[in-house]
Amino acid sequence: MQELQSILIQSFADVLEQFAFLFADEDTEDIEEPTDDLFYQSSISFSGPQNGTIIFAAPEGICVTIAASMLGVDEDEIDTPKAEDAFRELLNVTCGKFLEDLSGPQEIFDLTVPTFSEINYGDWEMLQKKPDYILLQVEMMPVLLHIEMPNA
Amino acid sequence: MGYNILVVDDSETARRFIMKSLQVGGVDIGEIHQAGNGEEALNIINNEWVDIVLSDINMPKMNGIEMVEKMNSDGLMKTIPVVIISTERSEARIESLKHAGICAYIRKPFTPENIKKTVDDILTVPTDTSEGA
Repeated sequence: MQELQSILIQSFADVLEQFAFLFADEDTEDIEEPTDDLFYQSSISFSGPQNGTIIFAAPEGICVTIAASMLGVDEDEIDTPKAEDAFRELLNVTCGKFLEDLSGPQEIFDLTVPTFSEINYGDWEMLQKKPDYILLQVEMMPVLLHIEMPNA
Repeated sequence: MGYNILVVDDSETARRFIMKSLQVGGVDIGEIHQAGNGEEALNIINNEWVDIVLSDINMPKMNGIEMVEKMNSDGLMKTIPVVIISTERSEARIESLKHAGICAYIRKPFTPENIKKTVDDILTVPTDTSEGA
């Protein structure tokens, strides 16, 4: 599982850097406590030589920052639908990159459309406490990644 | 005169990111059209002059592969080059897309340089610099 998580972290960091010119860091010592009321959660599943699901969660504020960076616009131009769309697209591309990093370019996988939901602070705290969720920092804010691959 | 480019993706983020990359990459752009799926794209192609289509695969209503198949069955539309820009990474599937008639494939995430090179390779008419015998 640790190897899968390492691949996922690297895939996410690469995509975030290339797509949004932002950096994801495993060093979470100086991370800020989010003050957001709202948090986003998205998941994408894949099937093929291996099956699984990747989950991505983050406070709304950093999602807006990521969306603005991806689109090259000011954060005040990002409304909820734009932030949601960017959040899903980031996970979609991360999943594609993860599968290639994991299995190489020959394997054929089918990806689902990323789901999206809004969660509250209590849900976010619950996710953070789960041992198999990876905590990363982006722009000093926390983001969570999770990989489920039952047969890996 | 710049190229008229049609960007097809159900994600507005992806469309805007592609358009930004075209501009940053220095592609000579005339007009940019946008569509959220293959059906919308075909409507645009029927009504506007389009030099090249940059399209995702997985989209609602009509996906990118169905769109390419429809274009191939139309005498005029099949002359318009289609570049797929997608998270799809399997070489086997990319090969089958090329057999279906696409000109090139760009994996997400991509760089502005990737897009610029691909578009230029497809659309730039080689200049004959030979002096003739």
